[in-house]
Amino acid sequence: MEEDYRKYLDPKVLAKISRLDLKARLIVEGFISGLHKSPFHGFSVEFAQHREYVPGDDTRHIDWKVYGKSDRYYIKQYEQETNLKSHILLDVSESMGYASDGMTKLEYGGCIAASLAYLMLQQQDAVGLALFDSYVREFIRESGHPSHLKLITHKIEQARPRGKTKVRGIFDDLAERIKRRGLVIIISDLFVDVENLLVALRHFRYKRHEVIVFHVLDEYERTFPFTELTLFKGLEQYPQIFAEPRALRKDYLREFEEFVRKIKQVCREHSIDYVQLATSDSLEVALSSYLAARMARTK
Amino acid sequence: MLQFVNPLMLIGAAVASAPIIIHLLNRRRFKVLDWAAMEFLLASSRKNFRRIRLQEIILLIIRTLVLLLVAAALARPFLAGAAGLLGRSQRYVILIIDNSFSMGYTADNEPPHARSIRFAERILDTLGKGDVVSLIAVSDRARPIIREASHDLEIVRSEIKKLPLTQGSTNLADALRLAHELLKGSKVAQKEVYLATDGQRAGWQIRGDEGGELGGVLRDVSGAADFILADVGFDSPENMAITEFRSVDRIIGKEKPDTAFTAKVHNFGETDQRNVEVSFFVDGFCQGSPAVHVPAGGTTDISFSYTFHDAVPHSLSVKLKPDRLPADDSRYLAVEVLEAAKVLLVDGKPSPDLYESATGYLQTALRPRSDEAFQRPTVYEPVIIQPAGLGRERLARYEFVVLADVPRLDAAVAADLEAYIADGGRVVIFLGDEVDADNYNRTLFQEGAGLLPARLAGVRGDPKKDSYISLAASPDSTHPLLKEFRGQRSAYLNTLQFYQYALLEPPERDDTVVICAFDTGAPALVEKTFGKGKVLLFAWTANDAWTDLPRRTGFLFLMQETAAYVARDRQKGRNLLVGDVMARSCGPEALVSKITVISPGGNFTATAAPEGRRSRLKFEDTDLAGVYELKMARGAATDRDLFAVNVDPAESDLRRIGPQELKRTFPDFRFRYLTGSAELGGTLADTLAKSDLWKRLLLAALALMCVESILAQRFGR
Repeated sequence: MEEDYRKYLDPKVLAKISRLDLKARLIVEGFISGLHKSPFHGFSVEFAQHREYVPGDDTRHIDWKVYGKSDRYYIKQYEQETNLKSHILLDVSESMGYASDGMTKLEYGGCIAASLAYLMLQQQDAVGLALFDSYVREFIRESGHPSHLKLITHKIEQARPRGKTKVRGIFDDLAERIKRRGLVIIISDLFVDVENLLVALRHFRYKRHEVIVFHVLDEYERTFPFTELTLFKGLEQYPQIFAEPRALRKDYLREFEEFVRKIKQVCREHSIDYVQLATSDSLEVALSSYLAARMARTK
Repeated sequence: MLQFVNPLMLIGAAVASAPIIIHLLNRRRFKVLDWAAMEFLLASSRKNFRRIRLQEIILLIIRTLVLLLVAAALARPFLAGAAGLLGRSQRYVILIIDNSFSMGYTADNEPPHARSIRFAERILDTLGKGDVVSLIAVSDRARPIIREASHDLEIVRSEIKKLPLTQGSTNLADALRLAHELLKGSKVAQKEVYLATDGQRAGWQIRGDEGGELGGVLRDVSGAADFILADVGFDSPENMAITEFRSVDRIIGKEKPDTAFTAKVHNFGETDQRNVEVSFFVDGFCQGSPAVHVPAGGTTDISFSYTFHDAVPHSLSVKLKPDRLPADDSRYLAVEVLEAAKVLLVDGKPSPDLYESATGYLQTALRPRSDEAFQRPTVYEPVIIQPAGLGRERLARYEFVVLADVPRLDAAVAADLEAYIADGGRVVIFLGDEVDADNYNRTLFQEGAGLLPARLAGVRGDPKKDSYISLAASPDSTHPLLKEFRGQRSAYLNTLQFYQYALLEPPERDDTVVICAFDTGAPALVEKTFGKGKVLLFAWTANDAWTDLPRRTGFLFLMQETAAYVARDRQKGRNLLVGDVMARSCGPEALVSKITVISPGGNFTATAAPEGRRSRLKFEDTDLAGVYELKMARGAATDRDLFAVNVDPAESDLRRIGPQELKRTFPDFRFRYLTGSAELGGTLADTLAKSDLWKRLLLAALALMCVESILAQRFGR
C-alpha cells in the first residue's frame, strides 16, 4: 500500500522524525503528491559540449551516438542552468527556541528551510543558507548540486538557539555577500525592532532581491492563553517579569497585533511576501507560498 | 449605636480574611515560563502595572467586604437611633416597673412611682404597629402584669395607669429572671428591657442566697436585649423609718409587769432630726409618745413597756409622724400573751423535802413564790414527774424539759427526746450522784451523734466538801445565758463553790459550744444544737449536792435566763414582712371551719390543708403592712389570732446607686442609664428606636458580589 506522504506536512507527525534531510524529503513528497500538476514539468538542461572520455568518468554520460559514428568515447557535457538562486536566512536566536507544545520555532523553521532547499535542489535551483542571530553563524554559498542538501540540512541540524536577534548589520552584510540577485527567504520570529527590520529589508530590495518573509510564531505567542500567575523569564536577555496573565492579555495582544501589523505594512510597502506561520500550522503553506513566489519570479 | 443579636456570629468575620489569604497563597504558587515574546509583555506590563495593582486591590476589597457583610448579617446587627433613615423592625419591649413602697416617696414634684408610669407611657408612645410589650411590676417579688407579649398597646397603657404602689421591697433579681425567661421565648430580633426604678442601692444589693445570681441574671438579660435603666429617684432624699420593733422576751406572760419592747428609729437622711415623736400603741390605743433625737444616718433605740392583763393575742405598733415616705413610719407587732408556759421537770431523786429533791431549787427559781423576797412573777409553770413517767408524757406540750439527776434513760425515751429536740424542743440536763454515766454515754451521747453535748468522763472533786472550784469569770462572753454575768458582774462566777463536778468531754464539732468553764479549765456548761432544737448540759447538780450555787441569788438569774434562752419563740411566725406567707399549724377542726382574715386591705377567707392529724393554715395575701386578724369559728366560740406584717426596713434606705457603681459592681451588665427629666423625656423615641440591618447587609453583599463579577470580567480575571 502506498504511503500517504501528505501526513508529513503535519508538524506533529514530523516531530517524530529526527533526520532533517529525511524530513525535508517527506515534506516535499507529501506536498507534491497533493498537487495536481508536477511542478517539475518544463524544466530541462541545455547541452554544452563533448569531451573525450577519460577513465573514471561516469559511463552513463557517454554519448553512444557519437561513439557509433566515430568509435570514440565522448562524454556529453551540459550547461547546468540554474533558474533561480535562493538564499534561506534562518534565525537561530534564543527566542526561536521557544515551544509551547511540540516543535520549537527553530525546528519548525528548520523544517521549512530544509524542505525548501530540497524542493529547490530538485528543480536544479541553487540554494544557499545563512544562520544568524546577532552574528551570521553559518553562511553556505548557493549551489545547485543535489549533494548540497546534505550540507544544508546538516548545518540546520547543528544549529542551537542562542543570542539575540539582530537584523540590521547582519542583513546589510548578507545583502552585500549575496552578489547575484535572487530570492531571499527569511525565516524568523522577527522579534526585533521594526525600524531596524525595515532598514534591513530595504537593503535587500535595494539589491533587487526578491524577499519572502516566513514569520514563524508559536500559537501561544499569538493568543497568550495563560491563566495562572506566572513568572515569565525573558529569552534574549530580556528581564523576567511576574505577572497575572489574564490582566495583561488584552494589552499584550494589542501590542502583538500592532507589531504584526507594522511588519505587514513594511513588507507590503516593499513588495515583500509576508507569510505568518504558527508552529502548529501545516508546512504546506510555506511551500506553496514559495512556489507561488517562484512562479512569479521565473515567468 | 450598632448592636448585635448574635454577636458570636461576628467571629465568622474572620472568614473575611480568606480572600487575602488566598491572594497571598496564590502569590506563592506560580508557574515559571521561558518566554520569547517578552517585548510585548513588558510593554503591556509597563503600561498596566498601576492599573492592575489598583484592580487587584479593588477586587480584594470587594471580596473581603462581601464576606464581612455576610458575617455581619449573620450576627444580625441593629442600629439604635436611626429609625428615620432605615425604616424600623419589630420591637419586643419588656417594661419592668418598680412599685416597691420606696417609689411612693413624695417630694415637691411628682413621686418616683408617677414618674415611672409616665416614663413607661412614653416608651409605649414610641411603639408602632407590630411591636409587642410585656409588663412586669416588681416589689418583693416580680408580678407579671402582662406576661405574654401583647400587641394591644391600649391594654398595656391602661394596666400601667392602674399599676398600684405596693408596700413590698425591691426584688430585682426575681424580675430580671422573669424578663430573661420572656426574652428567651421571643423570636423578635429587636428586644428592649426598660427598668424604671428609683435606683435604690438596696434593690441592687446582693441579698441572701440570690447572691451572685443578680450579677448573672443582669449579664444574661443585658446580653439578650437592650437594657435601659431609667432612674426616676430623687437625689439626697430625707427619710425617717422604724426599722425594728420587737418584744424583748420570747415568752410574754399574763400579768407580768412591764413586759419590755424595743424599737429602732433610723434616720436615712442627711440632717439630724430632733424631737421625733414616737407613739406606742397597744391594741390600737396610744400608750405614750416619747420624743427622741435621731442623728443623720444614725439609729436611736427606744424602749416601751406594758403589762398585759389577759392571755389573748395582742397587737402593738409604733408610729412616727408621716414623712415623705409614709410606708415605713409605722411598724407592727403581734404578740401572744400566755397564761402559763409549761415546763417539764424530771426529778431523778424525788424527796418529801422540797430542797432535798433534785428539782426543788429549780421549781423555786422558775416560779418564785409571791411571798418570797424576790418578787418576779413569771409565766413558767413547772410540772414535776419522776423518770418513770417520762415515757408517757407528750413532750411537745412543754416549753422545755429539764432532766435533773435522772439515773438512766432507756432507748425509747432517748428516741422520744431526740424527736422532741429535732422538732425545735429544748432540753436542759443537770447531773448528780444518781446519774449512770455509762448509760448516758451509750443512749444519749452516742459518740457525738446523740443529743448529749459531751461525754461524761466521771465525777471529780471532794465529796467531803473540804475543797471546791469555781466558774471561770468570762467578762467578754456574749452568750445570752450569761447576760446577767457580763463585765464586772462576771466576778460573781468566781465566788461560786463547786465541791464536785462531772468531767465533760465535748467532741470537736460545729454544733457543740462550751458556754462557760470551771477555773480549772474543765467545761462547765455545754450547748449542742440538735435538729431545730437545743440541749444544754450543766456539769453540776440542780440541787446543792455538789455546789452552793442553788442557794445563791445568782441561781435565780441563771435559771431565768436559761428559761428565757431555751423557751420557744412564741412571737416568731406571727411577725412577717410584706409578701411573706403566713403559715401555721392548727387543729383538725380548721379543715371544716370558716376562717376569716381581716387584713388592712379587707376581709379574706383562708383555707387549711390537712397535715398529718392536724392541719396547716396558709395565707398569702400579705401585700399590705399592718395587723391581720385571723378568726376561726369553733363551735359557738371563735378562735382569734393575730399576726403582723411589716415593710422591709432595707427598702427605707433611699440612697441611690449610680451608673458608675453599678458598672463596678456588675462588670458584665451592659445598660443605658437615663435619669433626669430631659433624658426621660421627649427625645426618647428617636434615641431608642432601632433598625434591624441584616437584610440590608445581605442585599449589599449580593450587590457587591454582582459588582465583583462584572469588575472581574472587565479586568479580565
